[in-house]
Amino acid sequence: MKLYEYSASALAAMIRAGEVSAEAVLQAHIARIEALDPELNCFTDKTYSRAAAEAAAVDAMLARGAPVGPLAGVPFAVKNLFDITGLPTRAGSKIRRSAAPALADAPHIVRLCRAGAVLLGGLNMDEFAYGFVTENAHDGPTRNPHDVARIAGGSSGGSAAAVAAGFAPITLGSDTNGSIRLPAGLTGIFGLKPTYGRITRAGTFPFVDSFDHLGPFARTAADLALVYDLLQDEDRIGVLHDAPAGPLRVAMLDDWFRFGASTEMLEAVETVAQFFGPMETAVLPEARRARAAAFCITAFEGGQLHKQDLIARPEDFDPATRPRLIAGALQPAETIYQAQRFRAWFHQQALNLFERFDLLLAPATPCTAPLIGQATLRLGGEDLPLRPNIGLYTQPISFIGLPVVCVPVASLGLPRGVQLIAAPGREALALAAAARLEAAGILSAKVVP
Amino acid sequence: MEEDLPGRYLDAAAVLLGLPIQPAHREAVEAAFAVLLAQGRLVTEFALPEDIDAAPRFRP
Repeated sequence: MKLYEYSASALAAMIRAGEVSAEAVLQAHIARIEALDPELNCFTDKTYSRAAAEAAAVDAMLARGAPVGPLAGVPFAVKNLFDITGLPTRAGSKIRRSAAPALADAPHIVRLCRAGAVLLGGLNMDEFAYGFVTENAHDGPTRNPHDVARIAGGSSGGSAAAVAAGFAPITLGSDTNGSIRLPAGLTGIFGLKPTYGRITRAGTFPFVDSFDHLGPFARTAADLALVYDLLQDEDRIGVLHDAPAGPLRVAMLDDWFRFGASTEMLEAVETVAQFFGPMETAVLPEARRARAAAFCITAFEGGQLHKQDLIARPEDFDPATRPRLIAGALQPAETIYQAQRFRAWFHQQALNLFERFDLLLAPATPCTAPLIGQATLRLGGEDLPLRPNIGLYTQPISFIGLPVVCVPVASLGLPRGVQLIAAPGREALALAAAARLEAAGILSAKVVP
Repeated sequence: MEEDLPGRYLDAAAVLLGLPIQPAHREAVEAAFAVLLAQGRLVTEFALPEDIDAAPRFRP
């Protein structure tokens, strides 16, 4: 195995045991990035000098026998909406490239670095996180390591592709309507969207206050849990140790969550469901309206957030983002008020389902990764615009802030992601389920050769 | 004029809310607004129980 193919936990263990230095691990990852990123286009900012200093500090601590953290010498990178000291937090935009450099790291970066991790840089995304494709007009598209003609998904496309390509074993991203789950699914890795409010949003550039979440990407369930544990405060013990023992009550979401899905995506969901026992189905009522409500609130809050720049410098926005933000800001107040009321109602419908089930399953996407530049998606026998519709299974879930682990179901073809959806605060359960599926060989998230 | 109600609404809202729409961006904004109207209709046509409050949290 090459050094860039190991998980974060394995690398940290090897470094702690003195089998390899943090410096050697860093150089292996930098070489990988320099060889492949000119084509994949994951990184918008590289912090190699900082990384070298952090790796040297880890090696020095080990040399003098000082204790090191659980991510000692592990390289990582973040979506470029996280504050990185000394860099403008561009959030995928041209507008914020001229913003004042961040005076401090986001607390998420502080925590991972305190655990010994080594920051490689900032990663590409859709402008202001408003998209599912990472075809950024300013920074170019991020390409899917499994097929460079295809999208890596978005808006955290750089974060997902970087993990799939072996640029780093762990990265951080954000998810407002599916921006962790979609790219994780399309690039064949693990992604966690925690419960709304579970992880601080301090030190990150916002998009939609009602729905913004931050979370990790990884190639193993254990790494995902480890990073989540380092970022959250509410569970006092490691989440994998906090998981319930015994059989789980699992159901596949029917109705909206099967609408338009390809046969291979539905098979992936069934593969996961069968592992947990007899296949049951459940309906989350009015999910189509939930998705619509999320759609309207997103455009409204995003449009209001950027209103001053939409007035002063509309030409500087990505053409894919600008019209949706302007139209969103001008929506009738009634729509937004009723959408927020609907959110409260829909949340209760989900809680009712969790009285019968521990875990709900749904595809992350209706299909495997589309081509870069592809305009439409065939859904239910109809060709619909791809950009607003590929997140149709993720939007209703982030709308009510449920925790989701997106898992990569082993596949001979392009990656297929399945959402493991849990009740609020039950990250441990979803992560443990992912670990069990992984141990059974049902999931696979290897570095793309 | 009935059929251009969304366009007339956009014109009025852009002025009232102080968010002008540049001529070059107009067509794309109208298209985005049409999608939002259709999605919004799905929300507003649903009869919610009267005792449902809006979801946003007040953060002191």
